[in-house]
Amino acid sequence: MLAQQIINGITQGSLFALLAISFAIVYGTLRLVNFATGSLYMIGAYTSFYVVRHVSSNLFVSLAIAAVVGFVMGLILERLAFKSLRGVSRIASLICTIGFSLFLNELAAVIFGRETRVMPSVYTGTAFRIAGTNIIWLQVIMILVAGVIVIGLQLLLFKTKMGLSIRAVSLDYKTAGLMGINVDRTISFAFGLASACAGVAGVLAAFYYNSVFPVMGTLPGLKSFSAAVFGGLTSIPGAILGGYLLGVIENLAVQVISSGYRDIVGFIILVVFLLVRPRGLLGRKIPM
Amino acid sequence: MKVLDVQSLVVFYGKINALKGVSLSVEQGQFVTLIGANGAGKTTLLNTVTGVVEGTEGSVRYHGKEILNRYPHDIVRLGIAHVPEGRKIFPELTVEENMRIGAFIMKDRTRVQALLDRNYELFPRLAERRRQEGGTLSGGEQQMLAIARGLMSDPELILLDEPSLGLAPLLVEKIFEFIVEINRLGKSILLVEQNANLALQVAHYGYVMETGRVVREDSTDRLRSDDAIKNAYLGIG
Ligand SMILES: Nc1ncnc2c1ncn2[C@@H]1O[C@H](COP(=O)(O)OP(=O)(O)OP(=O)(O)O)[C@@H](O)[C@H]1O
Ligand SMILES: [Mg+2]
Repeated sequence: MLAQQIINGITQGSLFALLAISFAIVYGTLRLVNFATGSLYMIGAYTSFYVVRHVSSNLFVSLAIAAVVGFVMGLILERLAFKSLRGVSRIASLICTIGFSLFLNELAAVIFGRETRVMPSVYTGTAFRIAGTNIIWLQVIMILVAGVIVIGLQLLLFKTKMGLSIRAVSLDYKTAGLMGINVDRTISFAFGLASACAGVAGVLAAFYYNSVFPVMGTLPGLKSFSAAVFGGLTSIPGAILGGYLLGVIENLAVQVISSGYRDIVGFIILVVFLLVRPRGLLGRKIPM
Repeated sequence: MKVLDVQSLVVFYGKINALKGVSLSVEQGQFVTLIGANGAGKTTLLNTVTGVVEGTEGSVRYHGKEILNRYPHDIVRLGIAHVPEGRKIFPELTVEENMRIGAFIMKDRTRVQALLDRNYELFPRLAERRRQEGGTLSGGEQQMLAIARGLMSDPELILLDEPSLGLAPLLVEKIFEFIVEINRLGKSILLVEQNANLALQVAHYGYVMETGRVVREDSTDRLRSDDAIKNAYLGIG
């Protein structure tokens, strides 16, 4: 049973980690929290619902399409919530992301219906057994997908010119501009990237829980925000660590305490942790 | 021939009128200095030239072409490097990464490498510390890095904003030697300085700003021997 909960925790942690990365990228480049992250996750999930119905039931096709949809949604959101409000006030942008989130959730309810839609089960075969626990292929795939994205992001950030732009803009956008970096375009790209991560997480969640519904992103969004804060908010490795820790801790708490407390355990840990270490786990003054 | 030609430039920060019609120009290969007290508007002028701050009126021409209110990332592509006030190196990036970011606009890798080599030659101290994080350098080294980074875009015109700020006198002289050397290599220079004494010794031509206006301009020889300038800016009467 314990092994089962740890495995479940790591799988769920992959979802939290992807969302936490999304928060960290946006916060790193813009110093703003994107509270619509959960809604982008929901949109990723609905994308996969329709891709499965009309295009292909292959999980990877859904992932690719949802990543693109997420990227584009991110660009739109960035233009509306950030670019148009840049220099006005941070609070205005923040509220705009909350508004955008509510709007997207409502829009989804109107277009897709409020009821929960069922996703097909895929890759349910047992991959291997550890300590008497079955690990199914879907779990393996989720963990691998998260891993590949994380490595890909690190390569992008540290080995490419776009990555250098993102890092420079996140450190000091004014000086980055003087170096010839197109600050607006860099921020848009980073935002799109972050949103694509959220969309991918949504697809994985849709297949893992076999369901999609309009407010499915709210709780994971809040939880992974706390995971990101736990990890330091500007650090991608911190966000990953925070995401996986939250997943495992939550699932262990279900085992030890009661499943009724599942959703608040993460928040309690976050508050206590931040009282002790306000910078978060890997937080520095320095982003990424 | 004028490389940079600023005419009647007006800049506001909200209601604050920081530049009230400033005109200034830099000839090809010339070393021009702009001096003036705190808050005169020197940094604002440089920032407006490179698009960091928006100008409301007037013109900024580069080789005769209007560039007022263009994006900073476009300005640097034209051949203007801005070494900003307070150095603004990226402290978390290594010396070499800082240098390479200065060459961001360069597509040709071999050219970047050549520039890197040339600037390391000019600043051997930086070559020794190329793997070190920029933030761990001493103040003087950071200033050298800021200048070297500016040179990495192989500019024709370099705007320098108070490179002597916070440096010990000996280091200031060293930095100024570098700037003179860079000018000798053919780059036109606009140097903003509070250290008027030194600036007027090394530059060819000088402008004096007071509260948003240019109040004097002349060759530095004449400015140096002017009693009013001596009293107000050189601390010798
Ligand atoms: N971002 C800003 N917002 C509002 N006012 C500003 C801003 N930047 C500068 N100012 C004001 O504009 C005027 C000119 O400032 P500027 O920084 O250009 O002066 P400076 O000559 O560079 O001074 P210093 O020698 O101290 O660097 C000052 O009165 C300053 O207070
Ligand atoms: Mg200044």
